[in-house]
Amino acid sequence: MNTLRYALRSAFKSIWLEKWFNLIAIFAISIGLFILCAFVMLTVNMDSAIQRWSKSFGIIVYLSDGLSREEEEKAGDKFRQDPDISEVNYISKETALENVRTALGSNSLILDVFKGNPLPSSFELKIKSDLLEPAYVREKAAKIEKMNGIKEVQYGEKWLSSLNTATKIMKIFAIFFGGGIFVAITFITYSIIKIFFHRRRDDIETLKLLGAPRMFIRLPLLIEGMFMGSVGGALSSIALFIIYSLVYAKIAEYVPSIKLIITSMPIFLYVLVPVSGALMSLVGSYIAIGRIRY
Amino acid sequence: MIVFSNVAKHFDNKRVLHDVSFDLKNGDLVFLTGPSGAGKTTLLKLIYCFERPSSGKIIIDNIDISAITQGKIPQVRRKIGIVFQDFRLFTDKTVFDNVAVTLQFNGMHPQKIRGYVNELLEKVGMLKATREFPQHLSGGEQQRIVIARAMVSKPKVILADEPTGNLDDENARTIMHLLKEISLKGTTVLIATHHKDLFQGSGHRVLHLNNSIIESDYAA
Ligand SMILES: Nc1ncnc2c1ncn2[C@@H]1O[C@H](COP(=O)(O)OP(=O)(O)OP(=O)(O)O)[C@@H](O)[C@H]1O
Ligand SMILES: [Mg+2]
Repeated sequence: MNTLRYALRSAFKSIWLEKWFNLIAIFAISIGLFILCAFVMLTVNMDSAIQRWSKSFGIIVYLSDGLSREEEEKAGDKFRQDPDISEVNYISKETALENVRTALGSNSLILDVFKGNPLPSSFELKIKSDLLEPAYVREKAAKIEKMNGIKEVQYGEKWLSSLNTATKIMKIFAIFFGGGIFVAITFITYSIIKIFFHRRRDDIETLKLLGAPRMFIRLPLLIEGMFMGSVGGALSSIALFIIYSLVYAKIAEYVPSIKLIITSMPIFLYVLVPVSGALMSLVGSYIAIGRIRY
Repeated sequence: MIVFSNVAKHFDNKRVLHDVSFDLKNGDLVFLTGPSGAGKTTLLKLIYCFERPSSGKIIIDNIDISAITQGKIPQVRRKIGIVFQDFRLFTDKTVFDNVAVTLQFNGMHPQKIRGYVNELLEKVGMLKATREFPQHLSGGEQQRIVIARAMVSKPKVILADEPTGNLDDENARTIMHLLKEISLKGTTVLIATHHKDLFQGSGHRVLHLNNSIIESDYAA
């Protein structure tokens, strides 16, 4: 207990003595962690945006040609009665054509190539949001396709799967990136602690000659390393918090719906950053200290 | 307490000690003399495991240190208080902390440490300088701090390499008196010096080192 007290005292004394060195290291570490966190948050946000977006995907059901009004309405009633479906929009052949015309604008003349109206009538269905798992949607779509008078069922499967691969790639990239930052921070503390060790080699030698226990020599250096990592981490947490809140507020001013898209930063992340900083620098200083042969 | 049996030490081709044997008991106060370069410091270094003997056997407090593993060295060194010829004080520590450091190794309570340290600083006449840094003190003052540091943990052995080299007669007498006092309490004290007047007529045992051997072993 007292040993820890002496180690802490000695560590903080030398932190003060080497304040500029420590400051540089702390800044380097906090920048590293900040970039990492920003990247992680970007990935998390993109992931959740895609998740939400995918949930707003509707199922479009194209009806077979030549169905009577009654038959079409019957299909619509069936959808409306389905407890899984929250919204049913009917788009008639005519509306569809009108939509295409406005979409094409002056190019709409090419539609005149067709005799009559080539577009089918359709229903746009929204699945209740709590049921929106890709697998469930796929199943639902398959069921609807088997109903009478249905020509085709479309839902954003391709879109969904390519967005999924995009997030997967981003996640993998984030892991590698995180690994890189980990190595960088470990290396920074390793180097700094090695420098401290060299500067104090005479005193360390004397301590050894006086019979200092291993921990008495090593603990202050480990504490110093951890201090750098955790303070660096805390700084990037604070920076992250400030920037996040500012950006969040600013964007929300113009696009209020952003609040639905951007996930707020989980509180535990603010704690996790200094803790992981401390761990990374602990590893670095531990490797540096391995050089003390005793 | 300290046993040397046929110890030799050479650096590369340079022979410093050759077939040195002696035996020091608890509470002995012995002088180690000899001309400069005779190997006094080297002999002390062998005792605190800074140098390893080239051959022969060294036993400290019943531990054979000629075959000791790295991990056990701190344990042996904590039995030994060393007055280094070149002081080896911590320049970033106050006088108080310089003396306190060996007590801190064992995790002793700060209040207890304060008592021990102040008592010893008082004895060497340096209580007034508790909060100063050693590099701001004179050579003689620094030497007294080193002596206080070596004694404070009440070690079984004290090795003093020229402990009075920088002291005036008055202070030298004080230090010699302290070393005698601690030896009477059972600590083995080995003093390396070439100041004959430190031991002449004192009746203490003297090991005279010359030409790599103990040329004479006598009572002064
Ligand atoms: N690490 C070393 N490598 C090579 N030679 C050494 C080493 N250490 C000591 N020596 C040699 O051993 C001899 C004895 O040195 P030592 O310091 O033990 O002498 P000393 O008796 O303490 O002298 P002084 O009275 O001047 O302090 C010297 O000639 C020195 O050059
Ligand atoms: Mg010497």
